[in-house]
Amino acid sequence: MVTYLYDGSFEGYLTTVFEIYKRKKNPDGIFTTHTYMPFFMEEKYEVSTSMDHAQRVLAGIEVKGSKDIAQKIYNVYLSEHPAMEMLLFRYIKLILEKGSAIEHDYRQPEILKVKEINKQIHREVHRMHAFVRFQKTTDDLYYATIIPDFNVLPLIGEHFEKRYSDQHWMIYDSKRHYGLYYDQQQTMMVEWGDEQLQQQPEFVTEEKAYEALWKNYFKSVNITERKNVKLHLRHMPKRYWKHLTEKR
Amino acid sequence: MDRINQKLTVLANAAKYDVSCSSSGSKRKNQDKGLGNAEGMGICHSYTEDGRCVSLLKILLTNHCIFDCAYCISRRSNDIQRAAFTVQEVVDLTINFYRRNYIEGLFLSSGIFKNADYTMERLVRIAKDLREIHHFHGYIHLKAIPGASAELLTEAGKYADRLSVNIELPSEESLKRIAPEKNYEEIYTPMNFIREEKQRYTDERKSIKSAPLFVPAGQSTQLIVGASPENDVQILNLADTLYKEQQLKRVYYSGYIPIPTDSRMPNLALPPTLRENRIYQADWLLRFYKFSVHDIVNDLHPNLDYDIDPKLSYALRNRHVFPVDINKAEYEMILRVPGIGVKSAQMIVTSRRFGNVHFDHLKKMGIVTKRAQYFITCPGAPVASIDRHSSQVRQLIQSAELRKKNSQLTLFV
Repeated sequence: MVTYLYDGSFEGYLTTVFEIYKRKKNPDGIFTTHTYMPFFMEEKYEVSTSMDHAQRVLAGIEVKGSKDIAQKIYNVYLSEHPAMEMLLFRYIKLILEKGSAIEHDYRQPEILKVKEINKQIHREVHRMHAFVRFQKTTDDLYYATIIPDFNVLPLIGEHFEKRYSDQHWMIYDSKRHYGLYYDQQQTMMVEWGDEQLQQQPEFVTEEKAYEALWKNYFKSVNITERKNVKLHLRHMPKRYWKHLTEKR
Repeated sequence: MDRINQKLTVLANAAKYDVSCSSSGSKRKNQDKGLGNAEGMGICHSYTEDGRCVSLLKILLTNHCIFDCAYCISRRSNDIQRAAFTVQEVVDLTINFYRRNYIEGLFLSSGIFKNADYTMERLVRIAKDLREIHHFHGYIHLKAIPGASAELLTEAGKYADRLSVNIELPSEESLKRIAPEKNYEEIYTPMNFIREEKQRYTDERKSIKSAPLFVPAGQSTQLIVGASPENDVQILNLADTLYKEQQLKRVYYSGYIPIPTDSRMPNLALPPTLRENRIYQADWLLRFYKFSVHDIVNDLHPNLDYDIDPKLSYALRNRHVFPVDINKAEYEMILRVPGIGVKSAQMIVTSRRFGNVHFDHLKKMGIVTKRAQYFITCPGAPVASIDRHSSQVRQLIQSAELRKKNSQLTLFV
């Protein structure tokens, strides 16, 4: 049993791929250091992340495959899918051996699975574009909390940057404990300490009024003769409700 | 705010029967660090309990109206509460809802007060304020009021992403009966004008990149289903003409919701949602599946079969074009197989270049093989399936699906 351990970062993962090729020892398992459970009779390699090696693997994927394929790989990494590491290794191997064309052979289980996970990621990104609800704080910050099914925060910044380029905003993932903050110049990842987390943001006085208007609008456009709760729930699953002004 | 809340209740309620909700297809980008961006995909920010999407702030400027169209809740003879927004109120609501990410933009319509130009002028004024004073680049959909002047429509087209004129009744005869002050000519005049202007601007942009946008997301319209006697052939032929000749981006169908108290209207217990859904499915076949109206409905079958979807209905009536060979058939034929959608059809044609596609592959690709098996051949497919009689296939598919049926209606797989 050949096992590789990495630090959980994307660069760490790519470095692991580099190590596998260097050692010519195919993995039976790839784990992050903090989720790893020791196994009897194993050959274990602890990979220390190297930006240089990660970059070389990424460049290889982009040359043999394409930029688009590299993006798909990153998306699968963000999916937090439990078997993600081994799936991606088999996928990367396939791309490096056969080139980018193989990407359209959906008879290959790895190709199909990577496509499937990407579809889920895209849906979640789209949902976050839709379901983020900002509240305006007394510091002139438009603030929103979300809990996406996957770790999609790194994928949604650009959308909000283009849309709200003239306002300060922050989108905080309260499950993964980090956020995106935009200061009208650029978007950055921020982590909040306990102290900041305990401070409840204070909202401007008109905030309540606009929330009430929105709730009222939401109720008024409903056509009761066409009530269809199943369809409603399919589009807006309950787990998102606590962050949706109109469903709170 | 209380007063605005009251107005919002009345004027959102009056606007909800216009089913258009799209916010996609525009090319408007954020510029100079303004507010908003309308390029790319539309976004449904919420869904009401009827399962419909909420993408835009959809309101009437006012529900005062000089017309008396029987299908319309705002008709002058209807005894309801009337209200009117000011220009500033609509602008404030739009901006503040948009900044909180509630909406993609504004869909503004209005009852006709005084006359067409007077009404259109105010709609244009709101769009202009949003664009020029508030540097708003979100989505704006305006109603083009029949009878409004060419100058006003041109101006509207510069600020709006989409314009729409609703045909409402699917034949002129019905329109005249139900909406005595309207006629098709008055509806088609602005529609034609906008189409020609859009073409002119599009040509201009080919040589001058900086030429202004004109209705970049095109035009749409709405047809009411079930309020008048037209059959499905008539409705779908009309839609087809609108797509081809008027170059409309979307035709929306609205199952007539019985608004009591007008003797000119049929007395329905429930809105005809099933028929509406089947018509939408047929519309999908026209736009994305390369079907012709004649394939779907014709003189022999003037109405859609409401028990099964129109694609399955076509396949059962045309067994002679099946089975389709998954590994050899043209893309267009693969699209015609029940259970295979646009994306799966594309997956099949790219994958088969690498080798034979088997029945098991199809299952894994997400094709509904319980339907498709009766209409295809490929290695591993159950051979007996394709020899069954149409009525038997229909029964087998229906009973298989009845077992896992949930009562809601969906568009295709």
